[in-house]
Amino acid sequence: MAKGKITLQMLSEMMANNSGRSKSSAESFVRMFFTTVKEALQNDNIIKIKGFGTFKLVVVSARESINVNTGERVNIAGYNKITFTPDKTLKDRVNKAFAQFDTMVLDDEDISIVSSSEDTANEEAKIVPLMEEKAPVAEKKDEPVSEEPPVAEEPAKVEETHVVEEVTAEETPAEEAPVVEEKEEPAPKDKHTPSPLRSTTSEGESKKAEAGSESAQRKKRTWMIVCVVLFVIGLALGLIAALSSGNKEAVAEQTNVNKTDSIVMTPEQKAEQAARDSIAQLFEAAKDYEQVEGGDMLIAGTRTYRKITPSHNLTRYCMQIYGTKKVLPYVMKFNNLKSEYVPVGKIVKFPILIDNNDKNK
Amino acid sequence: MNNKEFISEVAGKIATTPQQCQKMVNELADTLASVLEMDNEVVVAGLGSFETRQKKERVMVNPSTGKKMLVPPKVVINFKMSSTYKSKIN
Repeated sequence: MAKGKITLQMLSEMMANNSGRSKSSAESFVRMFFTTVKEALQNDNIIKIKGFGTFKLVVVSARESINVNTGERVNIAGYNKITFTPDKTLKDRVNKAFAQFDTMVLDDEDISIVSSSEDTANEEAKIVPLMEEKAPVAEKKDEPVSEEPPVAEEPAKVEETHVVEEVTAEETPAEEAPVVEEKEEPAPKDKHTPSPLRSTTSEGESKKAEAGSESAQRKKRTWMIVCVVLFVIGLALGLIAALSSGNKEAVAEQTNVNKTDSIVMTPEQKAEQAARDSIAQLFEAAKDYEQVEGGDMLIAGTRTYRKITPSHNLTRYCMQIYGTKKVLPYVMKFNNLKSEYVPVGKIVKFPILIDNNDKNK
Repeated sequence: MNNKEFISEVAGKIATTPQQCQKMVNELADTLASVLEMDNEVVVAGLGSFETRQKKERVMVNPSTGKKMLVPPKVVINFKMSSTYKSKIN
């Protein structure tokens, strides 16, 4: 925390530089300004200065408190105090760093963000990433969503058919009921009417449950069958190719076969391929950013944001996020910093880093 | 005391027009803001000091909608009376 103490003289000097007025006139103004404020407060309770702010004389009433060390009751006498509320322009200038944030509605699940004062330094920083990281999460969701609709259709259809069955089943006992009342044998038939109703509903429910698990099982089975069938076809083609032709051709076709084999990928191989693709995407993205010359790693996007506080400096955040201080030059380059000492209050962005040596994998 | 009165009071003492005086007030505010932005403290002898304070985020309940809202962190200007002034007005 580098809080420099600025005197009135320094302030008036800066004002003279900014406005082009003479140092003496600026200084006399500044001194007179505050002297007038002091004097005015002797006579008035509120002094409103347009463009600057409002000085108020407030009377604080006496209150009872407790001596922290002894635990005794202490009486704090009433007193007068001066309060200052800055004008909008002044307020906004000072809050520039946080200007982009707005109050937002809090869903109950997010309450974990706000906690005790110890963790608030971390929690403060977390708000920024909370808002920014929702973007990449939203992007990732595009892939699995496409898989879900075709699967979702199956259980929906199954449920519809059973709803229809249930309705027709319920109608028939309803018809039976008035017929039963007219007859002179109410007792045994009464037992019959509720029971078909019950059985159809339970049957309907059990059918639904079965349908649910059945559809899940069907899902898995069709997947497995598809995989196995494709694998078998691939092998068969390979064998035919090997048996029917000579050595050179066989080698050539075997390489082709290897390619066709690769079309049939196990889920693990698919995941690896996806990882390779995403790394390739990152390399593409890295071209948009200024890189550190001769660096082992490449910057490929923004990972998260943190705000420098008295307890958390750049180095500490690097350890938190990356687990190492070696990334400091990359973070500095990413933020155009000349030094690792960043003023408190600045929001620093941390890059996505990829190993430069991964290119050829 | 409203703005008009204050400006005319100051203008009278340093022999400028009220318009010039208002301009100077704005310039002073601008300079003060620049100084405070850099995380400094401005001390006015005999009155007090202006400093910046960081306010942490907090959860509040919107009284009209009743919904829980998250107020983001912010930086505010804090004026602290000097002890001499404190004893003067008490």
